[in-house]
Amino acid sequence: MSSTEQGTSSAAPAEPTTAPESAAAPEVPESFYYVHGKDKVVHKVSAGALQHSALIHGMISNLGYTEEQAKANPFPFENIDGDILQMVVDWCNQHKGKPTPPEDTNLPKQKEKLFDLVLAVNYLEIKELLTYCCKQVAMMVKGKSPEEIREIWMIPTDAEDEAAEKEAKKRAGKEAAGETAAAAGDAK
Amino acid sequence: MPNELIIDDKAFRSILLYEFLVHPVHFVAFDRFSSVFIGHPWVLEDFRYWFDVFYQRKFDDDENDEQEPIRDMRDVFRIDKQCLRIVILYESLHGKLMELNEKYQIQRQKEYAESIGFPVLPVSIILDKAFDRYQNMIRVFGYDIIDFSEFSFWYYRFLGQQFDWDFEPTEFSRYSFSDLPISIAEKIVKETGYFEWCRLRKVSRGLRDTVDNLKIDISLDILIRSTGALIKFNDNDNAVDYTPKNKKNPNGYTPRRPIIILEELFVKPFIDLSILFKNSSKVNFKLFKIECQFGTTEEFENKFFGDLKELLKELNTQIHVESIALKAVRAIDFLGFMKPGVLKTIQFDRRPQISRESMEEIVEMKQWKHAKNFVEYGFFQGETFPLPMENLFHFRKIDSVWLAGIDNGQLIKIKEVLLNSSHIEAYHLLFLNADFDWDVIDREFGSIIPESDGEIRHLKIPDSQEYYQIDLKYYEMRIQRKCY
Repeated sequence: MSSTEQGTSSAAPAEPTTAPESAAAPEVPESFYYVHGKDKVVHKVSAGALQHSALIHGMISNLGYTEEQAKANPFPFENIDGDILQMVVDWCNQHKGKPTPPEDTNLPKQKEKLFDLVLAVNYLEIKELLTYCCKQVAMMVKGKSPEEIREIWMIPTDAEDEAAEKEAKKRAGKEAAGETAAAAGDAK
Repeated sequence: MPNELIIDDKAFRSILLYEFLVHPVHFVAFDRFSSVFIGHPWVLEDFRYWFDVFYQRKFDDDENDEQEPIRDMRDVFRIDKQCLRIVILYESLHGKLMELNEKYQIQRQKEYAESIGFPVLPVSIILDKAFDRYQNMIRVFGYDIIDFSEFSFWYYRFLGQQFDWDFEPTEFSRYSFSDLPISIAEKIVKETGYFEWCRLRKVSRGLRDTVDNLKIDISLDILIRSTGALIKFNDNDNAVDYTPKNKKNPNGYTPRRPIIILEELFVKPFIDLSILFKNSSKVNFKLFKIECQFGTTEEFENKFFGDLKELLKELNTQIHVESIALKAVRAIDFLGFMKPGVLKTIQFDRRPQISRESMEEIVEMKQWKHAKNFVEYGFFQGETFPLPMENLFHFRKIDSVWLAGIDNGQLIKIKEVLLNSSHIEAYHLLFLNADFDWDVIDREFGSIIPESDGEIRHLKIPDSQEYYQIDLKYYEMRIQRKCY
């Protein structure tokens, strides 16, 4: 569906190739935009597919990019892993121009990095995919005991939480003290 | 595809060694292996041969190799990550197989339920098997070989048909549930369902707060049974079976529904339910229904309602219930705990007959006066509304309410109410004894519309484009407000 190619986030990204258009392609030429994640792999996505993401859709509308400008300046999402972005792009392409049916069979099957996917989808504001992902995360703990839930969702115990909080406070205190000392040294 | 993967000798031996560690009987391993790798090229004799090699604490059968016996056979998986991944693939295939079997069973049950017109469809949730398969593996390996984060990464990857063993992820997952924004965590918790909320509260303080502050719309259906209580939340897929300690699953009826054993009868459901009741400003009960299964003793029922009343009293709150459904005789104890105005629909199980005194108390309650709809249901054995019908005329809709009798005077009164009120939408009244004159009916409600289906009359509302469609028979009266 989407095409990807190793490139950089510089002004001239590598030319991505497109998937062969179907025979029933619309007559009006479709505009394409480019996005890349942490791994700098550029994905070419149609404007129709990107409509699922409220964030990117907003960016496109506000920037008023031409296709050339879009090609030269792919939208950078440095906080999203490449494989996760690929998953999201694939989903957007599969659901281009149509609402997600309740029993969606084209949803991402890889759940190995589900929390990463949830955060990415939340950041990109893809409402339907977020709902699906939340359901998947919820399903992980269906019928499980509290101890199992803790392990599956990797939730620290209250004691661990408190210890981490204390540690963070201690570190923050030390850093603040260090900064004050450095500032005093500078003043001298 | 998986079959091609285990053609590799090392892959085959890894799975066999795993099976050997689970249960060192070669024909059991053969059965389990064949259930996931259908049409594999090995025979039972191969399994016996390799199990003998493993008994000698060896992982391969190279006779020239003077290898030391392996002290702990699990070291094979500790040292060689590929062997470990093959076992995860094996577990993922078992998980997939279990899911497929469940899906098939559910489909069969649904088809059967539909074929006999059974009103309640069976549970249709297929639980994620990743953690169960992980636990299966941990029982053999212990926790030091792999944690759930790593296991689930490979497990789902294999389920997604990605069989690249040599793939080396830089990290398994950067994030966990604790990293999610609060709004997302709430969304996920909401999706889990009632049974999980009770458990999530015990996981951490943060999750307890999240559950306690959920803003939700729910339907709650409590079925009191002779063996405990079944609490259904929203639908059949979200039900919890509370069973007394000495009656654990007596009929084998709910093998896949969560069952909670009660140490003390009914204390536990109310501890769980109090999560919802306490949060009264945020939890909105679309329906709050309490049913009693046939065969439940009165003593048992009294215990349930007594405990529920005590709990609501203790919480000292009025819960937001839009529609309540319970036995009329129990209503007097519970309507007071519902927030007046929010309660739109009152549904009474008409059996047993409610006394006149109790009904007089109910009709004086704010909850009754502010409600919009009144429905009676359940098998009819002569139970009637014990008060004059004037007590019903503030409702917009009335359904299946039996009156002891009806005469000309009362029918004329109904006509006056209809013409002088703008709120009535649909009434369905039934009469145990009818004593009226059809001539009077024709005069007051007009004659039967000739082309109508049944005995329909039209009562025009003066100065409006609306009318009441009235279907009057000896035993019932159906009224519906309509537009011309």
